[in-house]
Amino acid sequence: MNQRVFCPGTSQPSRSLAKPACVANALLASALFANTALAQMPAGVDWRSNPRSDYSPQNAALEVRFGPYRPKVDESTNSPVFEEFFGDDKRYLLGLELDWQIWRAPYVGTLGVGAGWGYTQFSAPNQIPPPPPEEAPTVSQESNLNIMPMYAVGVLRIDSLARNFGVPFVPYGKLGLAYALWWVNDGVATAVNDAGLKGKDTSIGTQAALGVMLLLDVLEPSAARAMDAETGVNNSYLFLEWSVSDFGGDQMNVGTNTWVTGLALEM
Amino acid sequence: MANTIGKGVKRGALSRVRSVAAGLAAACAVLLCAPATWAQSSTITLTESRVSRNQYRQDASRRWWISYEDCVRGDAFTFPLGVSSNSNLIEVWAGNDDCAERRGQQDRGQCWIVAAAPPDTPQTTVIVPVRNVVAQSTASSLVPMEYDASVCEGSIDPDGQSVTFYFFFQDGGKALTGGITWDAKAAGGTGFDLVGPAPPGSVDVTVGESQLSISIGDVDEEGDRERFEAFCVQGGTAVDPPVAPALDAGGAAVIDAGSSEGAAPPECSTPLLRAGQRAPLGYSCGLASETSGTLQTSELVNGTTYAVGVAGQDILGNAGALSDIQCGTPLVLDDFYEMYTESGGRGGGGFCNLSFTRQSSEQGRLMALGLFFAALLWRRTRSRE
Repeated sequence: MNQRVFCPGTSQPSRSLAKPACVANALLASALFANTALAQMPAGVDWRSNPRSDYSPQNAALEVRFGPYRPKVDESTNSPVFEEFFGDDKRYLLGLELDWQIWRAPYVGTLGVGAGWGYTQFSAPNQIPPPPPEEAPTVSQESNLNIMPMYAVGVLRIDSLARNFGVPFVPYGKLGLAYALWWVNDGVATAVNDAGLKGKDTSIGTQAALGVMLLLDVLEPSAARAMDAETGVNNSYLFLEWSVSDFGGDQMNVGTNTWVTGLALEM
Repeated sequence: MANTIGKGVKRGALSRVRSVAAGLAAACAVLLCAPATWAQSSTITLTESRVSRNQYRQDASRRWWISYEDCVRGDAFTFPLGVSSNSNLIEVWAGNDDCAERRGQQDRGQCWIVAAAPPDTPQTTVIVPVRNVVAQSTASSLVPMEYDASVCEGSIDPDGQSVTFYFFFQDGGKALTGGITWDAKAAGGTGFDLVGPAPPGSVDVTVGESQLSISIGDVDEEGDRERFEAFCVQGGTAVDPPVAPALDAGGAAVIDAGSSEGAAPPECSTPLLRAGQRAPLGYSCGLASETSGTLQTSELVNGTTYAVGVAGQDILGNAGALSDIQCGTPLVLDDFYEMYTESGGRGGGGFCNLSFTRQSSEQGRLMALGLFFAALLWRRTRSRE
């Protein structure tokens, strides 16, 4: 698959996926390509993959995750201070998740536990306290809100359709605990409020997700078998999930409700 | 015992000292009081590891080079010499030619005398003020008079000049055998470079809390430049006498109060900073690497208007001419965390500030559910085994 991705607003193919928007576009393009490939299979060829029985032992799953991130900070304040300070531009989170698939439930799928990590940052200039001066100077000193969400979840992946009937979709669900580090830099050092409290802390909450994975093995079944035999990677997927994290109580709510996409490998 | 030389000692006076010393040596020899090893031959030795300067440079590759600040502050080399003759005057020359050979031809401009001392003990310490090196005086064969800091303004070669020091006995205007040289080649050599690199073509000052942010633009390639240095002076500041060493040359000498060319804008007017001229020492307020597009100043006073200029700085720390002078006023600002807590937001205090009481009851129930789920999986795995 030699696919060149064009980023919006540019006339050149993107050689690096540095811009988050471009990364999103690339992943979407990959998903669309996979969809098109399924649709363009020759007539008479079953779009379902032939069920395999030659899998190598499967114990884990690795996900590379990417998606927009907008924390629910304003749910923990009296006014929408987050929106007023950072605006409503989209910011993105990059993350990883590693699952240990402990048990294969017959005719259902795998049940396991997983741990995830991600990172995102929000930046905006510090603000002149009211009343504003007549000629407001340009402020360059920025506050950076850094969020490092982590979670531990139970994961159920229902892969019996793909394994037993060749339907290349694997729905899944996750439920567990979330834990996040967050810290604010005021442009010089860690921010400190008027009470002398440092602007860094942890938040504890809940994590849940529902999603579906597209089994990429159906595009090149022989290559998938070879990869399994050579590297132990049983399956590779593109996935799309709706993820909900919440950090209520007397703490900064750095959770979010968002779509996440990415690539998953089962090993 | 140390002899401090190079402070206006004239050759005539030294000759008299030499005569007296020779006379005393002869008298001692008669009285059999002279150390035998000292009077037998004429050699000078120098233990390189014992050479010192008042101010050591951080950059070890140019430790012995002389910068503008070294010159203004009146630094000096200290050379501890081992001397095996007490009958001849020791002269120290600097230059980039064979100065021992060419002694007496200093009018060529390649060698010049920087100090002289009578070798009155086997261990003689010779002090060479760096201004004597920088002055490069070839006007006479006299040991240089004590130069003031204005001599530092006379060195305008942007590439500087490497030098070698020559130590030799002289007798009647001739250099005797037994002299030595010192060029510190293993430590990057020695010499003087008092001129800093060119400033950025444009600067733009924006506001922060207790600091200013300076955008640096239109930067020309210049191999000599290592970093940029910002200078901040409170608006309305005239000449500041307490920083006397800086103002001897770096301040008062460069200020032309009668002209407005390159002057600071009226709202932060000061005669101390002027575009195209060297800033006075003592007003540095920040450094940034040569490749950085932004320079953050060190801590400034909120609500005070500053005149701000940026200069290039070379490896020796020489700041060059200033960029255009801009005004900036640091202000009290609200960062996100201040606004968050002012809006009733909770949390903060550090990563180790764990408080389980802040979790909601739902989270507690979910945590219990998670533990139950994990226990179930564990039990299932055990039973399968």
